[in-house]
Amino acid sequence: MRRSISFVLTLLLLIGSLLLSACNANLSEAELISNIHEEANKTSIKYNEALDLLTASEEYEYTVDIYNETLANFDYTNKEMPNYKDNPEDKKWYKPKITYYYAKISGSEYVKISFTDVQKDESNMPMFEDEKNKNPIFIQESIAEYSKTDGIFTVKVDGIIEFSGASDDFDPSSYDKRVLQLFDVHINPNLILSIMKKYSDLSSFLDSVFSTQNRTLFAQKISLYKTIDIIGNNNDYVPFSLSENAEGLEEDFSVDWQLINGILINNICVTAKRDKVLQVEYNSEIIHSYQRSINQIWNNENVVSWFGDRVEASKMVVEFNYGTNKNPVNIP
Amino acid sequence: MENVAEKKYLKKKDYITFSMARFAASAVSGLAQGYLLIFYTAVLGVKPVSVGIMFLISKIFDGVDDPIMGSFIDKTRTRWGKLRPYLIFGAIPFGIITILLFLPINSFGSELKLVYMYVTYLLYGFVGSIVGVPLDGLPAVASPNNDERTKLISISRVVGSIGEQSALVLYSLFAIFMNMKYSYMTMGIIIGLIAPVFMLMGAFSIKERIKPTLDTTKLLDGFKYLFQNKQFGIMIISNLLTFFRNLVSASIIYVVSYIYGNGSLNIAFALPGAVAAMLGMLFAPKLKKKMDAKQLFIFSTIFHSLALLLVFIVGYKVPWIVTSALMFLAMLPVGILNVVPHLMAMDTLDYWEDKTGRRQEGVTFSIISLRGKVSSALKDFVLASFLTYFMFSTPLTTINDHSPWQLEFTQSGIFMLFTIIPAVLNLASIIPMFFYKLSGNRMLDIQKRLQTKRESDSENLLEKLEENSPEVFGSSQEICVDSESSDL
Repeated sequence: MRRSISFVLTLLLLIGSLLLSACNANLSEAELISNIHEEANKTSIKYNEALDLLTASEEYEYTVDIYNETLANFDYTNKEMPNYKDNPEDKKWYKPKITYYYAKISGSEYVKISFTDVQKDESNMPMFEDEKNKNPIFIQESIAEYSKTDGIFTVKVDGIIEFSGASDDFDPSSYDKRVLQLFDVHINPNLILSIMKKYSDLSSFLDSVFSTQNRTLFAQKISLYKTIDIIGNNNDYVPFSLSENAEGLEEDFSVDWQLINGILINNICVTAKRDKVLQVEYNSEIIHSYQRSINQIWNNENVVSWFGDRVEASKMVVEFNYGTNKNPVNIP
Repeated sequence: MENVAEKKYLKKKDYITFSMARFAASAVSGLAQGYLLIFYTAVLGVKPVSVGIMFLISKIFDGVDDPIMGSFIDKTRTRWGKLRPYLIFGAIPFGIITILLFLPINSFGSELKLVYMYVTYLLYGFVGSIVGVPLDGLPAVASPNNDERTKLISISRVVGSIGEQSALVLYSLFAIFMNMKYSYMTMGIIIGLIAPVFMLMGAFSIKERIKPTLDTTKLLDGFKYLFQNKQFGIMIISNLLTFFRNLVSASIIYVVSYIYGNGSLNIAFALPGAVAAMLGMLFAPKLKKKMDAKQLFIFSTIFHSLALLLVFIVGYKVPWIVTSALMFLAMLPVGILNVVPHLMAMDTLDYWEDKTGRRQEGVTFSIISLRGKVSSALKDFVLASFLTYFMFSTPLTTINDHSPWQLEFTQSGIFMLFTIIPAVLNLASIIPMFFYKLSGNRMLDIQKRLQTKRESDSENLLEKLEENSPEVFGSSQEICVDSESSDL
């Protein structure tokens, strides 16, 4: 009997503790932000260690398939989506093919960018092979090559030299070739290193940090920053924790879609092992606000509601090659 | 006199009606497991953390009520048997609770919603044990013929796995012309109305042919039995460790949504897996004739792990159809592994009866039912922990149908959760099997001794009947010679 009573009491204690812990789980927003900042500082140390490793590397190469999509038929003026809820195929995503190759051996650097645009109609909308708007019709690939050896900067497009001289004198806007306007290669040819450097100064984006995480798996150290910025109605960017239009965190995070243009979500993840950076991943998405008129059946009234949905996104996964006997780093 | 162990007791009708009862129970559990979380969070607007805590508390509640329920069953002595009365009287309340679970009580305040949720979910667990434990235990007493019992379990499990998918079919149908709220409510009503009818058909049709012993059990005997019957305890530990394989089916939605980027592929992965598992269940009785339950368990576990390893080696950067086809192969032994615990449970019952003269179906199947619930809770916990470790990015609820980018590290982690992690951890369930002795000749010897005992009991019973003795229900272990004698 005594045993049974002890068992029941232990059980009640366990249930009570669980309920109590659930009640105490809600930290204030200030406490949660303070915790995020504390974790971000820890991540910053590991992240910058990885960045130092890459900066110090004298010989390496990488190829990136840059995934990029933009909702071409989103009405930015009236903030209206195409009628995709009734017909998902109404969404016309503009998805050109872009690849970026970078190689470095001592002081010499080489970049090769390939760009394959999508055929567009008279309204500047992407054209597709099928009615479901799945497979874009691509037009001919264009390749730009940049090399920097002994201070001389050379630019070729589809094998023809377009420029040769000091890199400061190169102005991509004076060329109408789209492939030359994709990235400011003459300022910083190493695309991934320049993205990584943006995240090296934690103080400049700390209020945008939504979460940070660090893991160690099979001697690989993985560090992740996730950030959110609120895009105001004037397209101004405000870190989420400083914005008046954002509330809560994690699952309670909410914004008033009627008062903002959208949110920008970025994340960058670095994987390092011993003295090498193995992988960098950079993802980005823009969620835009939009309005929709909904008919309420019970009173037959049309009510305008505001929502948010993805209109732009990009993804880059970079794996580095530091040169092996089988696969050496070569500058063409 | 015909050999008791070889005589056929079950008719086609018994297989059909019992399978219908199993279909009903599985349809309700498929509905609750598959849609209750989303109903609470998306329709009633309850925070996921509150639902998670409620699920956890309900498992603790089940941990107490399941073995107590088993002891109650083992204490029960009625002219209908010890299992069937619970199924008969529990079926209608079970149907009502199923309907109540999915009532869209949106007009309730948040606190009242929580109270309603707790009351109905705990009642669902409690009434679920009242009907579930007897349903699991009935095959063990429906026939003294071991092959018939194996066949009954196997067929009913196959039909049950079809029942489990019935909610998916209903939802696909209702989602076309109803919103989420009314789809779930209608599913609850339809399944809640059909389930009691099917359960009652099964309960009235099948007979309890192995009669209970005279020994009475105390309420806490359920807990003691787990430690007393060591072979049963070993079997339960081993089966508890098989929860890792549930990670495979639980990860499907993550694999299709975040690796293949198409949530609607869920059915393309889940259905072949379910079909493969059904085929495995159908093969189980044939394989049981070639090897004992222990060998079958070890063979199926290793086969499953090797097949998952193959899927892992092939990787996820292949067309989804390749992964889906390979998973069909990997899921074949899962059907066998779903049946084997019930076969082993019957062996532990025979072993205990041979050793002590007592047969405790109620406790045995209540603990098996509890094992299933604990496994489900552990699976959810392990899955959530691994997803957190692999930096899974949860959708922002402020955005419609948000599908955030997942890192390569996360995608690899999800694929590992789908393949190599269960493949390796599953093997842990084989370790307790090294201490499991109910196999080969030992089990044959036990069954021979029991057969002799049952034949002797049967002869004694006939003699008593001839002497017009009214004492037909009192010997230590009786076989019902005339199946009609236990009719309602």
